[in-house]
Amino acid sequence: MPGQMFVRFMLLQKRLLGKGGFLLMLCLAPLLAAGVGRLSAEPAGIATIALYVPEGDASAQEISGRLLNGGGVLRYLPCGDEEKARTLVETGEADAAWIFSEDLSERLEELGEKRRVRPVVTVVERKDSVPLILGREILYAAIYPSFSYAVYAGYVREDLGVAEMTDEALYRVYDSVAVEGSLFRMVYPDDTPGETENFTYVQAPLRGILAVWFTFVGLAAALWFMQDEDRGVYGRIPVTRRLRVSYIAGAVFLLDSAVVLLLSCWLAGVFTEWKKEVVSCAVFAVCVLAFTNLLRMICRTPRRLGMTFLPLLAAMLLLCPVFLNLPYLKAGKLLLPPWYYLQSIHNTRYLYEMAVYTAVLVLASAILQRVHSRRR
Amino acid sequence: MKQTAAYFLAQLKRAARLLPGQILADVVVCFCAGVSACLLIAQGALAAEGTRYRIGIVGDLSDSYLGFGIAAVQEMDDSRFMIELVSMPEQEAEAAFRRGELYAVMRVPEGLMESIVYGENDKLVTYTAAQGQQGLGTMVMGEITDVASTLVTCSQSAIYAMQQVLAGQGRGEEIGRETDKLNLALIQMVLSRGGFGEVEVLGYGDGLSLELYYFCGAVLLFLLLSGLLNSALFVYQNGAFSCFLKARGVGALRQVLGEYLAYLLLVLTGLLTVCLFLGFGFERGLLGIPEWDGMGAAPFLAFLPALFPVTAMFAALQFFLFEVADGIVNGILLQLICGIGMGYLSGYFYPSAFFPEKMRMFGGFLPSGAAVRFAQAGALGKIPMAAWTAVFAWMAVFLALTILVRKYRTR
Repeated sequence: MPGQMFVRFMLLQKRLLGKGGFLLMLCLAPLLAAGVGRLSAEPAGIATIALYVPEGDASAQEISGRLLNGGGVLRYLPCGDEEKARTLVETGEADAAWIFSEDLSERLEELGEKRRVRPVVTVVERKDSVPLILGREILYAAIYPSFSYAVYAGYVREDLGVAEMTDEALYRVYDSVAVEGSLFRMVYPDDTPGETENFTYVQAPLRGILAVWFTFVGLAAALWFMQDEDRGVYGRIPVTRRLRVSYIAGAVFLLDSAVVLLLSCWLAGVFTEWKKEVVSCAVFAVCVLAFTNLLRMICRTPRRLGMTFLPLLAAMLLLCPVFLNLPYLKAGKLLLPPWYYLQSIHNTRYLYEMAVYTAVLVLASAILQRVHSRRR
Repeated sequence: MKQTAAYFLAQLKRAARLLPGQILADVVVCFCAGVSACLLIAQGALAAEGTRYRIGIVGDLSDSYLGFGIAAVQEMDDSRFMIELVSMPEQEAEAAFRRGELYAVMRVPEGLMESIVYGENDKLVTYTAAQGQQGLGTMVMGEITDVASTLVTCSQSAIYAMQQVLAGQGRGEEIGRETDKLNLALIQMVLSRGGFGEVEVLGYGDGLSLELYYFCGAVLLFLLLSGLLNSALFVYQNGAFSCFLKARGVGALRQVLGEYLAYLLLVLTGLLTVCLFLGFGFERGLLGIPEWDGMGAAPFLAFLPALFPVTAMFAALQFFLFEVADGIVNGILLQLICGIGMGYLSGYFYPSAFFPEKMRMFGGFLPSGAAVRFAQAGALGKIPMAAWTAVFAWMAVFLALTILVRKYRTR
């Protein structure tokens, strides 16, 4: 029996790989992943900031260095003068302009001594938005080191009355005790540190896109099986054993696509560890197989199955964490295989949940199969 | 000509049979979109009330300084409009995080405050902001924690340096008092850091609001992926029948034109069904787009004709993909990967301004990019010649390619 199944599997595989259209479809996923992965290396940001920093000012140069070398989610366009920065905002090439005072160092020193917070930078925006609010926080955090140093220097000279200390001596002391590094560390639910995965937000949705694509491969396999059934390809197989055969036919599609999924994740730069990826992908493939076969049995005709594709895609894009992660409609999420897969990469709990869901789907399919065969 | 018309009518009848199912699926899509819009509006409304991101804090919160810090962030800091910090037991926080009630969970290690006070900073606050791999939200969270970290460590540096100076002066007994004074001064300045910038807001300018941008993106995405909905039309497509038609004098050009026009009408019907719901939403004020505010459905109805050329181009693209895919199964998968891929690259999901320059240029060159330029210009009421040319050029290319493929198949 397993030998027969293997022969059937290999014959179907041979038939499938002989189709140019299928190979073209398989090639498109890694092509998209590699393309986006490669293009994402270029500078990008959720907001574009035109940055005008007066050339001769040391504090301004320090702040500019912190902003430009800090990486992050903003994109900076350094400008030669204030007018240019404003023009970039007015023409829509930049979302905001940050224009620093010409006498920034003096101003910070003065404010630090008086221990007052007053404007030292003009922020010009087209329209206030969440990315720009975040941007302003990043800007103020970049100013704060220079300002806190000025506060310290002013405090020592004015409040402590140590006026004789030179700037160099003050700086030497500050530098000797300066605290560096972050107080926070991002970790995944499986305690993997966040910094082990180095990809940008441009690459981040690719795993989700590929997961949705993979689910559709399963749906296409179900459609293919239905067409073959209509053509009488499985005419000699009793109806009671059709479910098993449909799993074999679907597995052929999904095996090739699983390899492509793993390869695409690697090309996109979102790949984690082999073991994790292979296990998650294997459980996901079985889950998709069970899900699409149950849907096939519910719809019963290719036309009806075809009608479900767009609503299903809309639901997957909306409920699975592909582009956005809405904290609503948990019940709807639980029905979609990509949701489990996307959550399972760093959380084995979802892997087990996906396995349980798969078992439920297989059981439901078996019951439905029995009901259908009794009717016939 | 007569044969072409007859063939077109036959195709139209085939398409008409799909119509009830298609309209039903459109209603389901509209329902999904409506629910998502309501949820997003609800999320936005929450943000206005200052509780957008709920973050659970677990771990050792016994230190009074830490308690004061959390209270200060909640009561006085600008971030209170974006973040709500909730202290809770770890298990409860993790369960709430899994249910999606918390945006992130922060774990405060034992002895954190001692570590900060003594400048060791060897205890890190760990946070989990994603169940799966990190996305845009998690990266934004990373930026926020970097900001918080900079504010704390720079204040620490200033205080330790001041303490060093006092120790160097032999005034060790003053350290405690002066530390408290400087500490309070720095906390006050951190809380009023928003005063560093003088903000000038220019208004919308000549661009689109984010709402209108996403509205155009959503409608175009629906059109781009409507091939999936209409895939049932191609289920029984038969190469032998095309050869038979050719033998009867209906060549590749006539076949493609007849089938394409029927297909286009099907796609247009789908668009009009969706627009019916959208028009109702605008008329009732359920959908809010700043540029069209308070004008009912009129601006949307004026925008609608701008979608027809785009629909014709996308229909030609879908028709070509089904033709080249050789079979319904590959056709569906091609529609999906091309639709989502092109939509992503052309900024239907994230604004294209988020992408690197080369990616933006590539996304703009694609048919989906030509469509988004056309629709956005249409929304602003002025479509330039270049946008018309790009849309019709792509449409012509896809139809020509489809005819070539059909010719090859029926040779």
